[in-house]
Amino acid sequence: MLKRVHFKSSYLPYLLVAPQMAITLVFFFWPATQALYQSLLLQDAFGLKTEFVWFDNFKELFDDAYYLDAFGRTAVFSSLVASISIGLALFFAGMTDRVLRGAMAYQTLLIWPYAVAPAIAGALWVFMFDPTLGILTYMLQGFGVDWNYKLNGGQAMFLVMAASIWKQISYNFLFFLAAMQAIPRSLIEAAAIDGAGPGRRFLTIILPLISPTTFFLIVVNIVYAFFDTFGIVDAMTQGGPAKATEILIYKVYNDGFIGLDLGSSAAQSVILMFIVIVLTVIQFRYIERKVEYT
Amino acid sequence: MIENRPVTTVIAHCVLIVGIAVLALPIWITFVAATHDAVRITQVPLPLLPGNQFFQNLAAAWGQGIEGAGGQPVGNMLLNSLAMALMIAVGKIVISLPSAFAIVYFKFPFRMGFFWMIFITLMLPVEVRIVPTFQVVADLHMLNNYWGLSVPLIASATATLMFRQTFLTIPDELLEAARIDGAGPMRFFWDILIPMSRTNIAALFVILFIYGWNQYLWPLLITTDRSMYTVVMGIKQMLEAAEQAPEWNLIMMTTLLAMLPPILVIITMQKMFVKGLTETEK
Amino acid sequence: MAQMQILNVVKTYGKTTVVHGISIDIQDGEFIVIVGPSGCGKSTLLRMVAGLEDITAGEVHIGERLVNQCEPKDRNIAMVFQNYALYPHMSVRGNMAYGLKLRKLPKEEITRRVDKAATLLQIEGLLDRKPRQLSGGQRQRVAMGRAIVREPDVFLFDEPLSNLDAKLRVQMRLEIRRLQQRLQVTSLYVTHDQVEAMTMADRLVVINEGRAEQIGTPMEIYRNPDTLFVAGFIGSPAMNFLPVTVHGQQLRISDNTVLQLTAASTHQGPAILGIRPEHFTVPTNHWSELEIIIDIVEPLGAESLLHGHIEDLEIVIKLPAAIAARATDRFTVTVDPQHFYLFDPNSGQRIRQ
Repeated sequence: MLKRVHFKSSYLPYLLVAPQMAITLVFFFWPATQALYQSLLLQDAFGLKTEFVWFDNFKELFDDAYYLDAFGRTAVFSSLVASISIGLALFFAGMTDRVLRGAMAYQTLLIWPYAVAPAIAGALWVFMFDPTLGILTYMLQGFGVDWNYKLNGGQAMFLVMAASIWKQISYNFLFFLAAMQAIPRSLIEAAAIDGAGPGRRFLTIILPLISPTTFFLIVVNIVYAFFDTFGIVDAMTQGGPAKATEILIYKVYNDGFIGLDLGSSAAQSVILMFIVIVLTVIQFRYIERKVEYT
Repeated sequence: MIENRPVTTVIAHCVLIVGIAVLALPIWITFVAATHDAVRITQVPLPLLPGNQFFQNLAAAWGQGIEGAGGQPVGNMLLNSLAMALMIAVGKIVISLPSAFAIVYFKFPFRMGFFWMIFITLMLPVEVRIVPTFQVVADLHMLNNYWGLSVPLIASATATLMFRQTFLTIPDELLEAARIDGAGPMRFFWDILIPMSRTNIAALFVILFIYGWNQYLWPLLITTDRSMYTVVMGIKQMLEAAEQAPEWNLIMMTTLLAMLPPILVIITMQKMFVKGLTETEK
Repeated sequence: MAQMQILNVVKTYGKTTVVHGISIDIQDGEFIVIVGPSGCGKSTLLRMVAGLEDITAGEVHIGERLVNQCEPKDRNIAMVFQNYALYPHMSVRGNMAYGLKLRKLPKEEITRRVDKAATLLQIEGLLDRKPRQLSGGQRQRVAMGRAIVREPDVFLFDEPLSNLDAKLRVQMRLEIRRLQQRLQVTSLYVTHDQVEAMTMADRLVVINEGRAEQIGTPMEIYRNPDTLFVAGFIGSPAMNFLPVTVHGQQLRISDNTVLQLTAASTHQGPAILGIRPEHFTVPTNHWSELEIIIDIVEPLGAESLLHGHIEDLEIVIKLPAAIAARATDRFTVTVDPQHFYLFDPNSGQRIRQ
């Protein structure tokens, strides 16, 4: 944590941390406490009257069928986005790790979706699947599928998920590839000499050795699906049709800024904060168990 | 590979190429749409091969923007995005380097307290505390300017934690040698620590630039003045406008322009970016 | 150049004391080697002299000056580190010049000193390279150069050769010694390698568990160790130790083996007998004999090492190869009683006759 030899100075370290502390206090701790405080308040729609209601906002949320629906929807959405994007990335990384030549080129060709903003990713997919103009809509209609994500909630959810997964694959791919390439060659060779074929080696050597990365990615992907997909949802469906794609983070925004129900929005924020904290703690407990190759 | 089995290698290559093609399909369609005129782009089925209107569309989007979406020139939006991304990236690096330096190289009361205060910000993304943060920014009269767009997003722990990690790997002996050579804390910081961390600084810059460029919700809330729109959030207005007047050729040109800078950054600085990403986020 | 005095220096971390009052008087231009096993406090002692660690108690004088409260930069010392601690982003010239720049020496003076040191170390051709482009030996030279250009009162070396391979180590230790003799700078050199210590030192300080066990020239210490620890630590292969019982003029190892001293011992009862492997010879005269069961013979060329045992005590013997060739499973050897070292089994102190 601290260097064996360190400087002693009465004021300098405080001066050095001051800028970050100032920004953190003003734009982080103050709003976070505000969120906590507001979650205990009830405000009328015009902001004229506020009342301290303890945990009523939370109770109301858990009695609210819409909220519970959003909760369930988010759970399904996150686990599907996380598992599919991790699975595909693992597959591509395994293939790239197998080819001797061109691994670098494949990496280049696979990483750029990381750079695409979620909202932009949403725009790309909306255009492809536009109910009247979309190229893929045209193809689907050719197969007799009645495609209109603006009316069909299931189709809307599918589209939001596809865009979310598409954007996240490259991130996962990079981590898997880096982890696989960190495995010493001699280990794989030893397994080959022991008689394990490529598939077997992947399952019994590579997969266990990259498990810390996998775990890390599971947590990161869940966080991604919970929060970073806001832009995708907002650009594509605005939570519709009929709330079919309203995930928790979108509901916080919708209730707070559109519905102006500050107390409920703050309570939802607090619940989300709690979820992130739990995920972060789990992640940091596991990160200590990295595999070391000596 | 260890076995000499050309067949499996060929299969691996094929699978990868198909995967890349699927992944790139949305971009290709975007590019094609951006090269046709407004009439062609309303006729089903849409073309799969590029047309010849690329530069006309580019000029229209860049200079005038899309009428239905407020007519903000995309050039201006790109400038706003660039300013925001640069301010966030530079700002985070500039405040994180000294605080990481203080935490690693000084012994002072509340050192761990400061560390935890920084660390905890890692846990709460801005989306979660969006309403109260918005209120703070409004109270400080930072709506509709670059400061409001960037400063609140600078408060985060990732950069500080990464620099802390970097500094911890720098051998103690270097500090000792510098002290024997006569360097005080700030000399050591400028002459030794910063030059030694420059690859990490560059890698972090790439990541933070993309993070800043791709911000969506925050600029959406902070900017009401059209001249302050960033290109990523501008897309939303365009998509809404597309309901009435589907000028998809221009919208797709804008998306293309919005994607291009971060993609270029990632590909030109690939090595550094991959290293920065995979080594810092762990 | 300066004389130096270390007076009753103590270092404690919280409740543990790692250096228990060490005193060393160092002459101007002397090469002092501090040697001891890892964790004995030798590096801590050096770092206290450098000013990198606070001195809990005691005094360090460099020249006429008490330096306890001085910053490292004000002590007029230079240090060579085990991992060299070269600034990786600076060229060789930059590394050597950095300390001089901070001292605001005129540019021409800096260039002159760097060039002179580079010539001395034969690294003129490397001045524009970065440390990562250098081999281990070259880095070592640059680290030396950085110390030399400072023209300090004292050189401090913290195990500077332990990252080099064996061959280079031998070469570099000669070079450091040659350089020091030429520059005549008082030097303090820390190592755990007793061969390095023996070959380089004007005088050595053997440290064990934070205490200076013995200070003297290498030959004094080899010939006349004060304690069991020093006897075991200095000399390679290490001295053999056999528990014995002293009866008058006799040393009884076991029922079968009894050795004769030249005169009756002042100490009676249990003791530890030390015999250096190189002091064994084949029986030639009336000295008492030992029968050793040989397990393994290691030929080294001119000499051979015989590893064997008497009952359950392991014994190492070093003999000229020609003689060792005659060794059988049971091998009888003898030792001049002058080369017997007797130690008190409780205090570890030498029992002098």
